[in-house]
Amino acid sequence: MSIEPTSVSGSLPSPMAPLFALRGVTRRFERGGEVVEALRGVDLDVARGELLLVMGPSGSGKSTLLHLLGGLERPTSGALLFQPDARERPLDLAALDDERLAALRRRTLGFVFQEFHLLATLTAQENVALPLLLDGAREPDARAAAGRRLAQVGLAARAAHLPDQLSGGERQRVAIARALVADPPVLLCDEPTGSLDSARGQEIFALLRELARGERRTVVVVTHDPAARPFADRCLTLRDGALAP
Amino acid sequence: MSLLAVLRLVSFRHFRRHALRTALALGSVALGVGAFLAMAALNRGVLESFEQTARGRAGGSDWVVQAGRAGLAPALADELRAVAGVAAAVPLVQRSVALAPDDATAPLHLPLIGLDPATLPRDLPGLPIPAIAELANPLALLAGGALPLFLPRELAETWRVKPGDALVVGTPSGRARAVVAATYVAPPLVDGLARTIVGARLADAMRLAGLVERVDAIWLWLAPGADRAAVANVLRATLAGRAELVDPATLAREFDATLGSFRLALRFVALLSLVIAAFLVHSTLSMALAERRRELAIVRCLGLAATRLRALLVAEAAAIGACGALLGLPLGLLLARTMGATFWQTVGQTFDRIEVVVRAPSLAESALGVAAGIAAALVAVVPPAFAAAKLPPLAGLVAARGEERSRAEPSRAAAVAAVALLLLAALLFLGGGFGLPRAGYAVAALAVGALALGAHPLLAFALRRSGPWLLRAGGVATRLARDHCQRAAGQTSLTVVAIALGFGLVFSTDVLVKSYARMLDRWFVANVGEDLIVMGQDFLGSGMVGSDFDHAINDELRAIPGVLHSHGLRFSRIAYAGERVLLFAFDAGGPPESGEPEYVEGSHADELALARGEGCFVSEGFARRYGAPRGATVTVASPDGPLPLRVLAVVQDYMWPRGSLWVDDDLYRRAFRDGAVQEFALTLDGSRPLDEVRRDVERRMAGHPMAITLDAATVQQNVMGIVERYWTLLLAQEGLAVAVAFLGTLHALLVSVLLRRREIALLRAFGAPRTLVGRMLRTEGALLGLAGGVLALLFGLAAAASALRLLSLEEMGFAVALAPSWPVALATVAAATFTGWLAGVLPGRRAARAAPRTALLDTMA
Repeated sequence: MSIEPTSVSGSLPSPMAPLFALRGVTRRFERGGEVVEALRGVDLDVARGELLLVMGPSGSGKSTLLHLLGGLERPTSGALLFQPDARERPLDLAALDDERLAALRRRTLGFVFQEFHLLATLTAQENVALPLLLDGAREPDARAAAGRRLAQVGLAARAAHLPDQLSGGERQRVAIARALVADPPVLLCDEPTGSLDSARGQEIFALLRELARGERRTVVVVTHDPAARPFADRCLTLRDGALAP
Repeated sequence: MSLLAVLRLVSFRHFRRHALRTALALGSVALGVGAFLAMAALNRGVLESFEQTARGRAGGSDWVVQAGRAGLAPALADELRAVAGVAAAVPLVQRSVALAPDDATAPLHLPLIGLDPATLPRDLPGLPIPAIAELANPLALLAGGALPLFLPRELAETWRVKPGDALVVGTPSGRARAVVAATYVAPPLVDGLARTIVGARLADAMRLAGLVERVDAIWLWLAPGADRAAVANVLRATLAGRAELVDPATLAREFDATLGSFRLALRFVALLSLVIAAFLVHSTLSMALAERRRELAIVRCLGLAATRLRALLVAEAAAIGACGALLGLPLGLLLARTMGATFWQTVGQTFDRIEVVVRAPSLAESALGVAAGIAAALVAVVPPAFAAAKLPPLAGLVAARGEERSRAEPSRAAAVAAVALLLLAALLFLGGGFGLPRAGYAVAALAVGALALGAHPLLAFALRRSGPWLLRAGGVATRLARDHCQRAAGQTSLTVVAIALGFGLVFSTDVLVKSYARMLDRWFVANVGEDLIVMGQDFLGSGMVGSDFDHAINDELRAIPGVLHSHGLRFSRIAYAGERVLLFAFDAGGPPESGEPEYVEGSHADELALARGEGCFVSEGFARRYGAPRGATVTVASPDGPLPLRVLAVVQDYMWPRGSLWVDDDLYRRAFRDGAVQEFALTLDGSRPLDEVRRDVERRMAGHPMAITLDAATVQQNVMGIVERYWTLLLAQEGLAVAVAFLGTLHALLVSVLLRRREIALLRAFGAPRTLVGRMLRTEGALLGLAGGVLALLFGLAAAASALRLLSLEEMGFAVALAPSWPVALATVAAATFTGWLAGVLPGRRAARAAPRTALLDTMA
């Protein structure tokens, strides 16, 4: 399949079109006066409903790739197309303005951060409800939805606790619940088991598989945990910013 | 709707969690608004008090005709009454009188008004006519030729005197007897000083004041329907340079002018206080945003668009501004009352009799204050809010992981701009303001701008390569404190600027006070060579008006053994070029031992011409303000019409803020037909001890209940005491500035602890003891204080120099030499360092208390 990144409006919608299509994506940073190339010409399609595992050593560009998919960063060059609705034309994530990217992050792209990034002043339930509130939902509705998601990840009893009263595993599950609360079709997870023991890690991966298969959600997981392989539909490896053959 | 929900959930929760810092931010706004309201109320109170005093002096008339202390002929009233459009012309005696119920009671100096009731206008509304409460038996008034006086009933009750009882009154020629003719009740609308007025018939008041065919003023009323401007022109023509026609409204300006340098400094300091408060609000909110980078980044990652983040931050600032401003309202009320009371305590009774008005902030001022508080918070938050919203969502998260740039390099543009502002300020200063109005304020504003912009580059430069020797000199805690200052030099410089501005204000005020005091001290030493001075008790406290003495007494004082020479000194405020200047008459032929002026133009030789009555000397301020150098001719009003006086010399003289004219006393008595003086200045020949001569002088003056005899050193002390008391009001503002600077530093260090939770937790995890963490924060505070203190000296000197040179020159016509006190400079740096150290105590304790693991986990939430 070929997608012309510069002529998005010209490409026809197709039910078989990938959810994400990356063509020659490069991402460079300047750090300490030096240019660091985190991704180098990555070509990648992410299919709808798959659980994709991205693995690789530290500094290989895994998190950068996930940030690009999540609309948190823009590629330096190349095309990054996102087609949440197969009946509509794909969106060029690099060309979207801040308002539209923010709206995508609220409704379509759920993101689980490696370091949880919960707001310390909010309870677990309020943290989970936050994306809905940002999207203009009524507070009771947002709280109710948050309660349901917390129950789904097994934390109903901890809803009123502040993050510093939760264990690392519980914080991670709160972060997953927050990513799911707006019922996004895409879930992006950055090292979701990085700070968990292996048993807890297995639980998290099982939950992610259930989310992908049971709820027809696309899940992209960045991890260096080999125990995740059995749960994935597909597994890619990044090395020095490029996909390993 | 969602913004409100986020504001309630995210912002208010944040404020609640960081209650202390929120309180500090609110406190900064509240202090700024409070200071603003207090100054507005104080200024309005001062203005109203002057206007009320001026209205009282004018007795509700349309104009007052006056001619300085020499007064004018009562017959002039008949000429003025004859002018078409004049409804009434009332000649009157209006001065202070020393009055007591008996010889044993200390006399009170009370306002006296003597007029002929028959000359008062009829059918004019608004004229406050007192009601007679109790009248004496007319026969009692005839007994012994005593002066009949009308006393306010409250005073009569205090003294337990009734109509017909005797009183003791001071006159220029000595003690005299008076009698209570009647007691009266002031009309309800009459307030303040007017309720203490002693009344007399015109002829009796002239007798009491020692005036022969002279009165102090003439009140004029305009006939209904007459053209005010046209009548005023005819009146001026009729006066023909013999006296001055004064609109009561302009009298208020005269009072204002008497406060000269003090009001100037008050305005200057008030403006600086406001700038400092606004800067602190900016600093506080900027730091709060820096500390919340991670939190804001998370909500950005969760889908909050940049525009809505900006709106959220602006809404937060508005809420902080509004709450702080509302808290500032009661603070402003309290400050207005305190400052008003202090102001009048030091000023109100020092220059003339002034109606004391203390005002609370008005509704309009309060509304303006609240609006200013909100506006200051909004203006302060806009640059950092826009910068925060511009950051990519991930930037804040990266910073939270400790991967932020290790060193924030100062902006080159800021450094260049700071240097440019400094050069501009220096150019404006050295160029004497280039004739621009209020150039002194511009220089101070440029200095503030240069400081704000230049602090970051300067701090970065100062800290460069200081690490190794600070490690050697102060240990690990000092080195770590320095490292953080360097790493966060941008934020740190905000705190340093806050400290520099706060303490710079204190230092500049001290320089202002010391410079003025030194100038007066030098002038006193050079000009006042006399050993003993006889004056009315009310002289120093009345702006050189005071009680009169007969000039003839001077000859008797000269005859006392041990007295080399005695000056009879006359101080008269006369109109000149639309302002009020001081006409000073003395014996110009006196010996050099009695004091020599310092000449700006001319020399000692010119004193001979002055003694011959060939002209006048003028003060440096007068020469500059009115363009009257040596050789020019100035013309003043006199009973015989315009009196031209050639300027024989220009001298240094600071007796009066609007400048002074010196004439020989023979010329004065002849030209102004005024034989009274307010002061005798005696030079001794050294043949007898000073105390013996003083006793003889006191014996001679025993008949004058209001006379006091002081040695020159005591007079100098009293004068300097008045000057120093004047500045005490500024202490309140200085206190505010330092309080705000302290709050700013405390806030900065609390934020610094939060920003460094991870670093501090790691230090603790590596085995650093709690004491090291506490010491590190205290040292950091002290380093900030030290840097702020050093910059405070530079800023304080620049601000004081611009006030002393440019504003003083513009307002008073003379520049004041800068006289900083170096011990005070050292104390300022020490106090700033200590304040910084003190501000580090609480954050240090907090940081040291946190368990390493908890702190590490907290950053991972």
